[in-house]
This record gives sequence, C-alpha cells and structure tokens, in this order.
Amino acid sequence: MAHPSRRMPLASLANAPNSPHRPLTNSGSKRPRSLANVSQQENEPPQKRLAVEKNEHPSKRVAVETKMRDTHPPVTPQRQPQPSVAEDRVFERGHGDSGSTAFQRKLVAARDKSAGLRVTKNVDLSTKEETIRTWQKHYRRLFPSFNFYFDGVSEEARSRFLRQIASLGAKEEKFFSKAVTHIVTTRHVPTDTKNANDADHPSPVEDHPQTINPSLLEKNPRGHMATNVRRDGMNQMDILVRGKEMGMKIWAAEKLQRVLGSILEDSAGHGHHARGSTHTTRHQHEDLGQVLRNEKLGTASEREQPFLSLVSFKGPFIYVHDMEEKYRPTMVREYPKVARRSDGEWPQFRSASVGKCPFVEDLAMKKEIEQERKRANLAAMQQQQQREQQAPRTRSHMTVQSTKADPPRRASPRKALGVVPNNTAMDVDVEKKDNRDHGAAERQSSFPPMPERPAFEFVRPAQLHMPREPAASGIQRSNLTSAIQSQMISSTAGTGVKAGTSKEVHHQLKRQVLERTHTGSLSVGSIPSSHRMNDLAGALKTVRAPAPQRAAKSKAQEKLGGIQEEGESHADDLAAERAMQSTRRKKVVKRDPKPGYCENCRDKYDDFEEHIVSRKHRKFAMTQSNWTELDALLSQLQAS
Amino acid sequence: MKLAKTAKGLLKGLAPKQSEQKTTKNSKTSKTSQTPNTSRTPRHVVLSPPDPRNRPLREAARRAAEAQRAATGKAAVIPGKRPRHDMGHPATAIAIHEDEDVSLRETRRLDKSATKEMVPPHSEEEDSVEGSCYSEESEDSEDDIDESVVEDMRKLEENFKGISQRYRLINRIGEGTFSTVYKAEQLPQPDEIDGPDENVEPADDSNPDMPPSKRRKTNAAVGMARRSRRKPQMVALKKIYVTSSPHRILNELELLHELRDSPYICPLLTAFRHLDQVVAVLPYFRHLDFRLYYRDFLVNDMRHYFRSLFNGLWHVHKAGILHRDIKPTNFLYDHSRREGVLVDFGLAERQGTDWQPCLCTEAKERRREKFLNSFAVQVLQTQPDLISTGYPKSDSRPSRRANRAGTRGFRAPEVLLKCTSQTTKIDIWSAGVILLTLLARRFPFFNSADDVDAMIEMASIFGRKKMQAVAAMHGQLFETNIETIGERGFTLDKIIIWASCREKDHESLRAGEAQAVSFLQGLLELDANKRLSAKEALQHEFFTAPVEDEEERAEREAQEALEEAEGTRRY
Repeated sequence: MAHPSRRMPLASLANAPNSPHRPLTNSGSKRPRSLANVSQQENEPPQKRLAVEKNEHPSKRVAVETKMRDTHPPVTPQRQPQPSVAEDRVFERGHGDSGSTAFQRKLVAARDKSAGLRVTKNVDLSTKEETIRTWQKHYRRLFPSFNFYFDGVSEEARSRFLRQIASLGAKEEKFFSKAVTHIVTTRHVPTDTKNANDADHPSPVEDHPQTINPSLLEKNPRGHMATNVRRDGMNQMDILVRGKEMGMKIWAAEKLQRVLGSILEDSAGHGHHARGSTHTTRHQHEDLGQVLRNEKLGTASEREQPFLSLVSFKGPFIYVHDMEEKYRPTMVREYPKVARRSDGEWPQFRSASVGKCPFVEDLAMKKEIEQERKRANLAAMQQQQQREQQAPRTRSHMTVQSTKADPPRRASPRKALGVVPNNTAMDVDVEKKDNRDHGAAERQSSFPPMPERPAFEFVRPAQLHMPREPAASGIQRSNLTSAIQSQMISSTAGTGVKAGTSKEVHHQLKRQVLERTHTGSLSVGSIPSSHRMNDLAGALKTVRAPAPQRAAKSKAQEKLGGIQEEGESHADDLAAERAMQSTRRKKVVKRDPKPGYCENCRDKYDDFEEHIVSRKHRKFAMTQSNWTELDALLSQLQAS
Repeated sequence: MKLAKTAKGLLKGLAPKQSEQKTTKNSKTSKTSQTPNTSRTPRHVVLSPPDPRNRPLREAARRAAEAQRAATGKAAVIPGKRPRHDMGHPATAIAIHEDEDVSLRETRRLDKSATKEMVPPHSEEEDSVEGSCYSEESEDSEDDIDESVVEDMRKLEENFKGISQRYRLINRIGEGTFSTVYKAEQLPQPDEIDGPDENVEPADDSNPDMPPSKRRKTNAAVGMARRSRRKPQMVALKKIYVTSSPHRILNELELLHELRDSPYICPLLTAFRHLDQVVAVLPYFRHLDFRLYYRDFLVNDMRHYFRSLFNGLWHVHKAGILHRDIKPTNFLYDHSRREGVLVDFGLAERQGTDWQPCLCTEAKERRREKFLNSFAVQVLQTQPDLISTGYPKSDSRPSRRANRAGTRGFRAPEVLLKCTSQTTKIDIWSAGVILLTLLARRFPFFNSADDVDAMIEMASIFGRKKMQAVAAMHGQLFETNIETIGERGFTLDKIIIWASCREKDHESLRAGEAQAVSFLQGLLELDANKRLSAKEALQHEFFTAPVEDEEERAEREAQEALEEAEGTRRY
C-alpha cells in the first residue's frame, strides 16, 4: 500500500503536506507523467481512494457530491483499518470517520461545517489552497484533450457528467474506440496497472467484489452497485480490461465526479480556506468563468453558473436565492451605503403620521419636524448672534440663515427629531437581550419616532387621508415572458396611479385653496421612500404622475370656476389659473396612452386605445372560435 | 361648487331623459347647501380633532346640509367612532367626502328610489349608520364625473350593442388592472329587445330569475336589491378589458358562478359579450370606502368585519379556490349591516393550478435535510461570515416561476418567494394584512412598491431569523445585511402600539386589542402550514369568546346606542 510507486500524485491531492512544491514540477514539465499518475491513482486499491475521498471531502467538497455519494458503492468497514501511515498523515481528518460510508461522512462534514468546526481544523490552509488551485489549473488544461467513454453510468448521471465535461472542453465517445482516453465506470476499477501481470489476482486487500459482468451492469441503474456480482477474475474482453491494455485511464464514476467537483465547484467552495486571500479566490472564479465562456457554454449546468462572475455586494443588500442555485435569484437588490441607516433607501419604518403607511416618509410630518427644528435652530442662532453682534436682525435675514444651516433635503425624521427638544422618541428595542452570538454585527433595530398626538396637531391635507389603493398585478401566465410581465405590472401601476391620484389631488387642491387663507403652507403628496429609479414601475410612476395631476387640477379648477355664483371666498385665487385652463384642457382631453400587454394578441402595446382597434386585435375579436367556450358559459348565466 | 358642467352635460346627453331633470334639480339643491358646509369642514380639522365632545359642533355643521341630506340620505360617518389615536379626524375627512357625495346626483336619485324607506326626511344625526350609504370607491363620490370616464362610458354605450337599452351608466366606481367597474341603473325593460342582444334580456330580470335562495341572499346581503318593479335597480357593470384573454374571463365568471351560493360573495347576475368586450353584471353593493373608516374601527367592528370576511373566504376556500386578491377594495363592507361581500375574482384560481411541488410540501425533517445539504447552503457555509459576497453577473439561469398575482402589500411570503405550491392560505395572509391595517390604523400598512420592497418590509417586522426560516421552507436562502432588519424582529404588539401612536398612558394593548393581536398572529404567520385556515379563524376566540375592557365596552355601547337610536328614528 504505502509503496512509493503507488503514491498518489500530489497534484491531485488537495491536502498533501508537501504539495506546494510538487505540483509545480508535475503540472509544468511533466504532463504526460502526471497523466500517468492519474491513472496510477485510479488503479490503486479502493481503500486508498476512499481514504483520499474521505480526506478531500471534508476539506473541499460540496453539495453535488453529497448527492452522488448516496448511490455510490458503500464502503465496507473492514477496508478502513488499512490506510498507510503516510495516508494518515496526509489525511488529517481521516481518523474518527472509520466505519461510516462516504455519504455519512459527507453529512458529518456538512454538520461540522455548519457548526463552524471546519475552519479551525484546517491548519495549513493557504498551503492547501495553493495545492488545489494548482491542481485545478492542471486539470483544466488537460480536460480538453480527454475523450470519455461511459461504462454502466446511468443516463441521468451521464447527462450531468456530459454537461460538466463539456464545460471543461472534454468530449464523450459514444462508442468504445481508440479515441477514448478515459473510461468512466460505475464498476470497480480493475487493479492497478502496476500489477498488470497479476491482473487476474486481486490484491490481497481486495477480497471483495471487484467488477461485475458488464452485460449485467448495462441495465443496472447505478444505485445497484451495492449488489455487485462478485467476480474474482478479470474478463479479458471486458472493456475495462481492454481499455487498460490500450492505455486508457479508467475512472470510477465517483472519481470523475470528484475531479469535476473539485475543478468546478470547489474552485468557489474552497474560498473558506483562504480567509486572507480572497482576492485570489475571486480571481480563480473569473478565470473559470473565462474558461467556461470560451467553451461557449451557453447552457452550462446550474452548478458552475453562479461563479461565472460575481457582482460583489458593497452596500446593504437583500439576496434571496435558490438553495440549489438552479434558478436565478428570487430577489437581489443592493442599496447605496449610508452612514445613518435612516438615510438608507430601502424600505424601513419611518415616522409617519397616523393613518399613513409606516414605511413611507411622511412629508407632512417631516415638514412639521423640520419646522420645529428650524425654530430650534433659529433660536440657537439668535442667541448666538446676539452674543456675537448685538445688532438686531431682520426676520428675512434670519430665515435665510436658517435655511442655509438647514438645507432642504431628505432628512431623516430621526435626525430631525434629534434636534427637537421636546421630542419623545419611542425606541422600542426588542433585541437587546438577544445580542449574544452576533455581537457587534447585531443590528439594533428600533422604531423611528412616531408623533405623540399632541405634538403633531397640525393641519393635514384631506388628500393624506385617502391613501391610494394599489392595483393588482403580477399575473403570470405561461405565455408571458418576464419582461412583458414587468411591463404589464408597470403599466398597471401607471393606471393605478391615475385612478387613485385624480381624486386625491382633487382633494388636495380643494384643500389647498381652502387652506390658503388659513395657513399658507402645504405639503404635497408623499414620495415612496424606496423609490428606485431602476425600478421600472417606480420610474414609470414618476414619469406619469404629473399628467393625471395636471388633469385633475385643471378639472378641479374648472369645477371651481363653475360655481362662481356661489361666491367662494377663494375664487380669486383661481382666476389666474383659470386663464390658462383652456390650453391645459386640450391636453387633458388627449388621454394618456395606456401601455400594457394584450393576452389575446400576445403583444405589448403602447397605447391601449390604439391597440384594440388594430387589425390583429380586431381579427381576434371577430373570430368566433375564440369565444365559443365563453359563450357557452354566458348563455348559461343568462338563462339562470 | 364643483360641478363640471361639461361633463355633466355630456352625461345628460347620454342619459335617458327622465332622469335628467331630476338630476339637474338635485345638483342645484346640493350646491347651495354644500358650499358653506365644505368650507367649514377644514376649519374643523384645524380646531379640533373630532371627539364625541365635538359632536354638537359637527352636527351643527351638518345641519346645514340637512335639507338636501334628507333627500339623499347621505352620510358617511360611522357612528360612535371616536378617533382615539389620531390627530386626524376621520370625521372631517368624511364630512368633506360626504358633502361631495351629496351633490352626486346619481347617488341621490339612487337613494331616493332605492333606499327611500330608510331615509326619513328629517334626521338629526348625520353620522348615521344609514349614512354609510352608497358611498363608492373614490371615483363615484366625486360630484362631477371625470371627462375621461364620461368618454369611456359613452364609448361603452355606443359600442356595446344593446347595453344602453338595459342599463344607464352612472359613473365609474372602480378601476382595476383588468377591468373598470361602473355603477349603472338597470332600466325597466319593455318586452321588446332588439337585435342580436336578445340573449341579454334576461339580465334585467336576472334577479327574479335567480334561484330563490340566491335571490333572497342577494337581496338581504347585497342591500341593493330592494327593488320593486318600478324602482330602478342599481348594478355594477364590470367592463373586462378586451386585452384579457377569453380564458381568463371564463375563469373569473366560472368561479363566480360556482360560488354564487354564498351570501358573502357578490353574486354574478349575468354577463354578456359583444365582440371582444365582456361585461359582467353584479348587484351594486352598498358599502363604505375602507379609507373612510380604517382609522377608527373599534375592535368590535373588526370582529364583524372579519367574521364576514372569513365566512366569505371559508366558502371560497372550501370550493378549493384561491381568491388571490384579498384587500379592502375587494371586500365591500356595509357597516350598517355588518356585512360584506367578496368581489373581484379576476385573479382567482383553483388550488392546484400550475402546481409544482415546492420544498414546503415535504415533511419538516426531510425539508431540513434537503436544505442543509443543498448546494447553496454548502457554499454559504464556506463563506467567512456565512453570508454571500455577491450574486452572479450575467445570469442565464431560468427564473423561478410561480403565480404571484395579487396586490402589492397584500402578498403572502410564499407568494413573494414564488412558492410553486401555493394554497388558499395566501388569502388568509392578505386578510391578516387588513387586520394589521385596522389595528395599526395605517393604510396601506405595507407600501411594497415591488416584491423586493415587500420582502424588506416584511422582514422589518419579522426579523431575519424568521425570514430565513420561511425562505428555507420554500427552498431558498434569505440573506440580508440591511441594518434596519433585526435578528428577531418585533412582536406584532409592539408594531401596533408603535404604529397607532398611543398616548403615553396607553402604552399597552387593551384587552380587546390584545385578543385581536393574538388572532392577527394566527393570520400573519409566515409558515403557511401553521397559518390559520378560514375555518380555524372563525373558531378563534376572537370571534367565539370576545373580550373587551371597560373602555372598549363603553365605546361599543355608545356606538350601539347611537345606532339603535338612529335605527328607531329612521325606520
């Protein structure tokens, strides 16, 4: 076992102690040799391979393998006691796992990982990482020259392999021929070439099933490997035997799996080894991405895709993604970093007066707060100025000053309130007890202040009492692409706004008029806090908002204009605006084109009115056969 | 004051003659009384938050409108409501609203004809239950009709053969993503109906033709149908946009038809089609706009509201149907009758449509194992801080697909997570959002400009841990480092106390509220499997063993007394 000639190529060993030096020679100058090494390794007795696996897994293997693993031939315990001393040394994590199957170990590894044990156990991390990287580079270089022949591999596994090897540039040979460089088998690999002379005699340790008759195997799903038909001798006509004679490498399926896994996934997964060298890791990813792209790997497996190229998070983000990474992220959004979280653009609890959405900054309230603040500033400034120069100040001057000191901006209520002396911020912190495991990282969550009733008894525009009602959206039918869908959603948002706004604005306008005599100040509407310009719906809203507003406004004016005889006190206020009304009215009459999606024509349209008279649409409407089913129901309804 | 003459003229042109004169007269009446009233209201707001003590003042204001009010029976205030926690003053807002309504000629005419008996010529109390009259979704309460609406109605009447013989369109009362709803008067039908729309004829008589049980229910619950041969019946015409596929329309009408037997679901009277235009006819259901009352519902009111809502949901769910768009707009609630009906099944679907197994359908242990061994989890565990450092740049993987139809802010977590095996529980969540809205006195509670925002808002309440757990249920990883999303989140009690802006002495929930919150917890349960079903909800102690503290009882009794007084006076 520990025979030097059978030693595994270090390059393929993730955690060989001396690997940092070895791979250089191996991969560099001695390619053919290392190839040979690979085959050597392959032909080693299974125990050794297992030991290798055992070792490799905990350190760098990830999920796919876990899945593969459970269909692999179980490792019988009696094989375990035999690892050489050298192996023991190499596989630091090998001990303690004996008796378990690879799969079980896998699970253990996963558990270990989740428990955070892993990192602490890996001693010479950078060394290992170096090794892995070298090894990966090596294999990636070699892969394009490989031609695989699959022997007894299930269809499902084969197709998965195919995708993966294709991604690395290798090919499959459908028929056994000289072109084959590697045979991938689910059977046990015949004993190593070293013992070619005694190929018929399994090595002493291998007193267990080795191969089975391929004819039996062919139909066997790979999961049946556990029930290997025992064969003591090698059939000379066996593909494995012949392949070996022809100098082909014979890989167990799990070997290929392992190699692929190590090249593809572990290139990302081993990042944990390298706390201090993440940049190299990233480089690695990009490198791999490059490779994959060069291979024109359009439909690559779900596995490697995420690593094509990562957009790294810089600011606060939310990232909801599939556990198997089969789908693109369900949600991902990043927000600009901010010093104060209340400045963050993401939705968060804001100070909003009662009745209003707590996630939307309440401009009316903000205004109130700011006024308070200004007053405070003003007072402070006055004092200061009095101290500095005893000269009296004009009111306007002071206002200018205070405005300067307090530029209009999207100040957070929290911030603003900080200055308000009599504010009683109501911070509810339910998490203080809960800080143990997250320490500094623990976010302290708290509510922004809400107004106490007496503190904010300000005049509120009627419009604020009528929050707009969102319209339904999100229909997803099979014939819609997501692009269309988003279009549709945004278009409904547009119409929704129009529907909801006109009245609000109308109210607001009336109120505005009425209030002019009372207060003179007015806040207009509220802007969603999480307004993102790259959000289509949001952008659309912003774009479209003015139009209905305008429409409603002029309408309201018109209304107001129409009741002169009632002598409204503020009719004058509107006189000027009414003068401009006629021009505006024309615009109003011309309706906003309503974009959307027509399910019947399966077309997006820019203007509803235009679309529904289009030839295509009319044709649909006129085609009786489109309506037969519905008509049946209608007549039933009408009869009932 | 705000009569859009042009709009009106246009409409008149369209409207049948006989109603026209009435209309004109009415609007004049309203004009005069309305002006002073309206201008007074804002002052109200300034001066005082409404409060029972202010009642005399408000009443005085209202009396101004009395005469014409008598004719209209219009009043939109829920009685006995004392806006406890808000500075706002729902009453004033409502007053404005109400005044506008007053001048709405259609409403008036409607009231006259349809609800005459409930409106005594002389009513002292404006904010009567009766007043929860035919207030509409916002559009209808405008005293004028939007030009574009007039135009749309004209088009519909012109283009839809025969419709103008049967219905006189009055105003738009709702506009959705896939349809516009008009209020219309069903015209008395002479026996001759012309042309190809012959088949439509039954529409007018559809009520009489309905199965008796249904009709009764409709009449009772729907409150519209107090019709005599003479009196016009009000209906809601739902104009389904022609861009909707026949299949979608079929789906909606079919489901509605199937659910016709519940008094909690707005029945489909009939429907007809002209070319690609389909119009569904539903009874017009008297209700108040949610935005007028969400700020001052008593817990007791919530009980009635939700009992009705969950009865509706129970019926829908029992039939294996997901409504998918539960929200206040789609539950028309008549406060005076303590009854509501579910409307708009445009997004509804049968459970199991496009069903794909989602991780959430597996047993907990299996789920856990699969999750822990999943690729992304394994990868994540290799990350230094157990958090992803980035996301794929050019991602050609397919998107997860699932039906996520619904309204922003009301989508259940599993909808946001694109669960492929959604159940009727999504409606329960949405109902929970309504309750949250009422308890917190904030509408909308969630802004949720999109699903990402929705997720963040949800996470702001529930915290990262729970969001991670629910994402994991559906086979996903939830990661965020957004500061305002806490590890544990907040309890709903805290949220409600905070959001409803208690005065200092009310820093805790009152007994009834606490019970409502415990109910709410069953509704806003992130795990759909643990979330209450409609049936379970109805068995919750919130309904079966209501509690209230003294103050709450006092409020309730005051309200009831008021209603009773009005009731006796009015009937």
